[in-house]
Amino acid sequence: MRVIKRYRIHAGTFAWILHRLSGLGLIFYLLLHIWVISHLSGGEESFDGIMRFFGSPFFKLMEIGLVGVIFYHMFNGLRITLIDVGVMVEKQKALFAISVTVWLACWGGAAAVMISRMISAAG
Amino acid sequence: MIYRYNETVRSGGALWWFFHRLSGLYLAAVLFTHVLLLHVLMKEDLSFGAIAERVSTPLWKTINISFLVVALMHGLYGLWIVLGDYIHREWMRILIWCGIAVIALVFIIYGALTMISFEYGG
Repeated sequence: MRVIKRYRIHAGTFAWILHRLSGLGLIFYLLLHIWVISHLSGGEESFDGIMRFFGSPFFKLMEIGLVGVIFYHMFNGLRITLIDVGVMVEKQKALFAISVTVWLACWGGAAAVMISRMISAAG
Repeated sequence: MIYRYNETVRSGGALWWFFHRLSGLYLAAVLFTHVLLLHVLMKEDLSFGAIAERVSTPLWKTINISFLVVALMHGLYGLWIVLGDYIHREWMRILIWCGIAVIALVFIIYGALTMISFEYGG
């Protein structure tokens, strides 16, 4: 019990929890995505109809979140794979910092582009 | 309950572990490009007219179907890893493994049919 009580959520543990949660979110998004794209079979009217539904500002904002979740899972997954094959094992903390920095930079850049398109579409 | 190695349906296996890394690398490249081109950098909202011509070509159908299969297998195997960590009763593990396999098959066939059957223009 004492071992359990002394347990702390370290950065690595937090990254592991986020990796699982983001992965769970992404698999359900993927199933939804496949269903949405299947509207191609119904022709132009059917496809544009569903795209209009998901084109509302609410879903646009959700999409920015989605891109952040994808990029997190991607760069944390690459970090895990590098550690698995023995790259930068001695410099785990630096690698962790790099993966978080690249994730936030990519997400920030993507979000800026997506938000500016939303603004110009509205204005 | 302590993890038992002799469970019929295990979480891992070296081949699956390797597949998860390899498919992860494939997705890092293809999904990054996909997100950039179709979710971030396109000039206006995606519409039928904007993508129909590209999606109807055999090359893109092949790329899209391979993307579909790899992404689904990576995602659903990941789902199995997570669920398998918390479910230890053998019949439950078998049930969930089979359930996930069925979902994989259904969505691979469903998505692939969407791509294969798609026609546009002449």
